[in-house]
Amino acid sequence: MSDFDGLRPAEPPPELRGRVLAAAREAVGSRSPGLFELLVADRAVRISVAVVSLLFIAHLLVDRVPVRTSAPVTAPAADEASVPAEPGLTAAEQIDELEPAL
Amino acid sequence: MADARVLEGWILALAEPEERLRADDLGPTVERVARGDIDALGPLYDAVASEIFAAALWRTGSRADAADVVQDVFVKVAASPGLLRGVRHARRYLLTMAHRCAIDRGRRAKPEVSIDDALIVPVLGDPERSLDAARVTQALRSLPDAQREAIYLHHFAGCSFREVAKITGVPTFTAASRYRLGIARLRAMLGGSR
Repeated sequence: MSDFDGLRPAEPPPELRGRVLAAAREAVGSRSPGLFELLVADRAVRISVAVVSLLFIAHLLVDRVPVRTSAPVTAPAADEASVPAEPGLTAAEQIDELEPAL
Repeated sequence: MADARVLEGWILALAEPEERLRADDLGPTVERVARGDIDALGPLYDAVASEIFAAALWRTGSRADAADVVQDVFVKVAASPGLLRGVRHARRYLLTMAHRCAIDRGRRAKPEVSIDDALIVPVLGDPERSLDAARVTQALRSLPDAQREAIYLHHFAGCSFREVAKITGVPTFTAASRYRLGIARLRAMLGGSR
C-alpha cells in the first residue's frame, strides 16, 4: 500500500531488551522442577515414590493369588415333569415314618 | 463487477504460498532455547522482538502494553522452554503467543486512558514523512484492533492470510476480510485528507 511508503512500524525501546532478558532469567530461576528433578533432589519425595510403588506392586501381587472357591453344586439336568431331587428320605421311608399318624 | 473483484481477492488470498514466514533462520536458536539454554534467549530476542512488539503495539495501541507483551512472551518461553520443542514455525508460534497476551492485556486495560503512542514512524527519521506518519497513526487508531492487527501481520510481518488466520485464531476468510476492510477504510480516510 502506497500510504505506508517511507514508513515502518514503531520499534521497541532499546532498554526493553535488558528488562525482558532479566525477567526471563528470573523466570528460569523460579521454574518449577519436573518429577525427575524432584526425585533426584528430594529424599522425602524419593521415599514417597518408593512406598507408593511398593504398595502398587503388592496390590498387583495380591490380586494375582488365586481365590479358592467351592465347586458349584449342580443338579442333574431335569425335564419339566420331573420333581427336583430333594435330599432326605425316600417316599417308601416316609410312608414308614408316617404310618403311626395314619 | 465488484463481486468479481471480491472473489478474485479471495482466490488470491487462498492461492498465496502458505508459509512465507520460514522458521529456518530461527531453527538453531529455537532448538537451543527449547533445550533450556538461557543464553539463546538474547539472539531469539534480537530476531523476533521487533515483530512481537509491533504486532502487540498495533493490537493494543499502547507502547507500554506492547513492551509488557514482549516480556510476557519471553518469560513464558523461559519458564517453559519445552513449549518450543518441535515447533516448526517459531516466529508464527511466538506471534500467536503475543496475540493472546495482547488480548489478555486489552481485557485488563482501562478504556478511559487515552494513548498517543505512534504506531508507525518514518523510515530513518525522514522529516517529510513525519506528518504522514502522524496522520496514518491517527487513521490506524480509528480502525478496530483486529483490522489493525491483520494489516500489520499481512503487510509488515509478511504473513499470508492463512498465517494471519492461524495467529489470530480465525478462519482464513475472516483474516483476509479484516485486512481488506481495514485497508479500504484506511484509504478512504487518508485519501480524503490528502
